[in-house]
Amino acid sequence: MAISTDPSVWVAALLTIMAYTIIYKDNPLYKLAEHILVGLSAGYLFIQTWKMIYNSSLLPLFNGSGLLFGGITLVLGVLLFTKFSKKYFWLSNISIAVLVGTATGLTVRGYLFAQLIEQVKASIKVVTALQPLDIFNSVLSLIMVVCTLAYFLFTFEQKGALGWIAKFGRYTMMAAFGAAYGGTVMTRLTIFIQRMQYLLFTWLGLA
Amino acid sequence: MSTLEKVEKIDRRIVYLVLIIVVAAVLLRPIGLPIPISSSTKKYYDAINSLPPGSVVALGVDFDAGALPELGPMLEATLKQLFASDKKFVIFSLWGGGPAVSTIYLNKLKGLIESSGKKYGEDYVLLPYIAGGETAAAALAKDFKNTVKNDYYGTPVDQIPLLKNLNTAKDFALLITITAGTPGVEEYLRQWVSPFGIKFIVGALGVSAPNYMPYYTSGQIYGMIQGLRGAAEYELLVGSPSIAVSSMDALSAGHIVTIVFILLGNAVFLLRKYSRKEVKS
Amino acid sequence: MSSTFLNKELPIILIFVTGVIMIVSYFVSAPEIYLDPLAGNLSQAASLIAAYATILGIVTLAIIHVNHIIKRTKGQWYYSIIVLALALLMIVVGFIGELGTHPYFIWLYQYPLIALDTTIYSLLAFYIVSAAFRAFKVRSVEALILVVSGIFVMLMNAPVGAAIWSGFPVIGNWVMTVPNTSGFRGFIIGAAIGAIAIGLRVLLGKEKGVLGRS
Repeated sequence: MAISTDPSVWVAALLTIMAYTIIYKDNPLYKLAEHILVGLSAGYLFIQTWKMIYNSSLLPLFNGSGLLFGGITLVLGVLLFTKFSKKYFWLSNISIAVLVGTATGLTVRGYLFAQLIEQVKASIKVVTALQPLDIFNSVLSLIMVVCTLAYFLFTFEQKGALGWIAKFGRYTMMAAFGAAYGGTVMTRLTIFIQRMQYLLFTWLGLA
Repeated sequence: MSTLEKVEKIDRRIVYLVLIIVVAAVLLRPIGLPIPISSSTKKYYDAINSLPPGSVVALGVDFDAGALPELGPMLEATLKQLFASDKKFVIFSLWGGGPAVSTIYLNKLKGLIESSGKKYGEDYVLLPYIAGGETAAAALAKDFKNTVKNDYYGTPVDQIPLLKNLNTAKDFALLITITAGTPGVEEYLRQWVSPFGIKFIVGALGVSAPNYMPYYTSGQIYGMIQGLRGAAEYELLVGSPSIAVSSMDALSAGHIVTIVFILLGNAVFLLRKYSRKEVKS
Repeated sequence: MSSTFLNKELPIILIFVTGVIMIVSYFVSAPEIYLDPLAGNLSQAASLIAAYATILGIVTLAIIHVNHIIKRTKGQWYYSIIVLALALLMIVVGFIGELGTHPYFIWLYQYPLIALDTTIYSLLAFYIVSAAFRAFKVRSVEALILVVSGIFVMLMNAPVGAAIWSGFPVIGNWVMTVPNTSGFRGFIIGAAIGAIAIGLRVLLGKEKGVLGRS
């Protein structure tokens, strides 16, 4: 057993233990750990975001390589800060409008092709060249997709045939949520295992 | 309180302690269970290998510190495969943590980079974080160089040889994203894959992989590494078993603990339900 | 220009014009009217506005904590000093040399930040296992399907599943590729239809809530 002599490792290990004290009960050490994270995260994100603004908006404005673009984006960016003014807060809506309009245009065209048309095509594709099991799975999948969509049809009362279809759709969704739960367990356990490895091996040197 | 009731209302800290003890025990005494390779991980690996020499790969490091345990091993193995290959690549990020994470792993692989003979600026480049999510993905796809202006170290893009001919998404042979969520897979599908038809492979968290399966089965995603299990498979394919492989036994133990607790909890619940029914009748 | 036009009509016109440019540029290439460069510049401009909005968010966070310190909010004001001090430290170190490249900046991210971020995320592992025992009760057919599919996927993800029985990963894989894919595909198609409908309403100015106060 060779405990680490690296001060960086000790900093990380002690902060890890500080945060883990919440497992026992809520306490000031955990709150301190939380606030340290908030401070460091905010500072880090400020630097990365400022880097983008400086390189893409301010530098072209200062060195003349992008006067119009740099000037317009600087004005639109600064207008956002009018939110703090009781009299001129509505000016920020101009910047938000450009952002919302652009993003909406991008997502509308993107959703149409990448998610609606492609996924409908994939649903109705029936595999004919492979094993009978593949054909069965394709047909079953198509039925399940239709039933899932039928579950969200609230225009008609879900009774009779539609009721059964919607019920099967609900069962399909439960299977999907179960799969998502299985994946969630893996992700959360992974993060915990990695912290255990750090404490046991990197810090305490147990292996 | 009956015994069953006491078991049902057990202090949750006892449950936590069981998890800690089991995982620690398996970490200290690994079992060495075999790790079969799944087809989705193999396709991720093959997608990089099958590219012609000199192809340029777009590598989106789209996660931050919280997802490092699961996605970090994927990134490390991807970088190892790329540095060992005859491909070039550009690293960029739609997440704020991307540049720092990339820097940490590039520093970690310094020795490998030197022995590979790959030169910064000619064979690989690190770009800064681009805010905006969907708009950032679209801006990069449509006008790659002008969206970033400089690399992460402040060098103007027109002074970087690798970026000279990279104007749109079409100039890349492959898009890889190792992503913790949004922005990520769906933004790239909408702004890179659908308009430009670029081949797309994904490194995904275990929690996200089920959500991306419709895209994988439709062929929009060519290959996918799913969670830490996928990362372990990928490390074996790359020939560099590392932290993901060494975590597999502990992952198995953690899963068994969870399943046992689900079954135990339901067993107690059903026993209490039937014992109450008997008392009533 | 009247303030009503600037306040109400101009943002709606901007949303419509920018949105239409982005949609039309996807289908039509018209270099003579600079449509492609305009669409490219708009995407970049929108990204920059999002960046400024992030800075606005960080400034707002700082103002909240400064207010806590000024008002000496009980149980909070000393934590607020920590938040501001560390944020300032990170920013000062980040400005040394080329933005965000100094080794101390990377150190602050690599050791304290990663340790805390991953540890706090890992707490969910405890809650998941605790909930698996105390809350995950099979009271209906739906819950049974959820539990069974979850267990098969877990036994597919963990190598121990294949070691116990070779059928576990096969069934788990089937769950992922058939019912899971179908369920989420239904969501994706439904969400796409919804997103397109909402998007068109936004572009036509029917969704006033997307803008702030007016």
